[in-house]
Amino acid sequence: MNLRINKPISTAVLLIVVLVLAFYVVLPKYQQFQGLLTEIGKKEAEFQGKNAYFIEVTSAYRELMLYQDALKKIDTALPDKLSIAPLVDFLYQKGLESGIIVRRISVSKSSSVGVDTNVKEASLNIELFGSYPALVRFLASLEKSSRIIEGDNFSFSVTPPSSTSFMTELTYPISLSIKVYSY
Amino acid sequence: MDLSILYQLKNKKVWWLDTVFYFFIALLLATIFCFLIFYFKISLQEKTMKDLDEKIASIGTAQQKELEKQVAVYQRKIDNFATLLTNHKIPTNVLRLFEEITLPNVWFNTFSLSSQAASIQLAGEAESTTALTRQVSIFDGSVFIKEIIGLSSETAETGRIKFSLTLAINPDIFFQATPEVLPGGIIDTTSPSTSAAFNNYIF
Repeated sequence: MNLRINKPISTAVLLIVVLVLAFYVVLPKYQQFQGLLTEIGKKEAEFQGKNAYFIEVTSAYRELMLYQDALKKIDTALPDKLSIAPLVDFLYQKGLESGIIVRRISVSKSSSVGVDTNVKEASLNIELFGSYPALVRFLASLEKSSRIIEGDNFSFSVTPPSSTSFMTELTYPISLSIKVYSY
Repeated sequence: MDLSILYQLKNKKVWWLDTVFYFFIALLLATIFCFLIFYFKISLQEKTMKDLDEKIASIGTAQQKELEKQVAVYQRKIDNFATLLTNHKIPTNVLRLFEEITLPNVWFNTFSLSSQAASIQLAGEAESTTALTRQVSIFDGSVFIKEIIGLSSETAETGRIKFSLTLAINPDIFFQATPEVLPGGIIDTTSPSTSAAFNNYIF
């Protein structure tokens, strides 16, 4: 059997087959290969980034643990919950230490400090009775307290000596409003 | 499609036809080889991708995520604390300033400080008009007092000068470690916090 290949036709068919294979099979595979290469690059970058991030997180946590005392102070200054009872107790105690009488404490509603923070502030109106040096001591003790207490407004009046009363008042009512912060 | 040229070529012996034919066979083989290479490489890459996905998923362990959460909480707390501390006002600075700049012959009987509005409402008495004028000029010269608003005065039955005024204060005073003492010229001032001042009816 003499099988002769028709070379011109075979060449033409080969050309068509090669073109079809190149454009419809090999080229898509090449594109898929390129796409995967890019994807692997991204994934590797993500892996490296995440790895570095968690290494950083772990070292940051270890470093934070070295400052536990400072962190406790921050927790005290800015507690997770506004507890009125210890705060009122603190104010009465500071009043006693400063030599000023805390006559009344009223707590107004707490509100958020800002839009992008979850810190809340609560205002307290305090009615005091005492002398100026005692007030200064009381305010200074609030300013220096581990809890962040903001002295907002305060006012006091003294009745001047008159023809009926020659004595100067050494103690007088003082109204003070403060702010405290919590989460 | 005109295929007559192919039939003409079939009958003729053209020297380059074999070369072209074998070239296309080689090209076909090369194309198949390329396909196989890409197929193999793709399967390898897919495996690499799978491995990477598994590695990425394994990075954040429960313990690491817990640490991350704790660090984030502390970071937020530290940031908030720093902001609050930066804005923490020290109102006693204002009282210290008044102790420094109040003349011994001027007394205040009403004092109302608003740290939010940075203003102080004052009412008091001065020994004389000269004392009041001098006190007002001292207020005017203080770097911590921006403006004197609504000054009113009248002579009291005792002969002293009653006055009231509002001071717009420079908010910087709330953040100073120690308030700046007024420069020179008030050598004879007595702090109202001294016993002499308290025996009078200032504060």
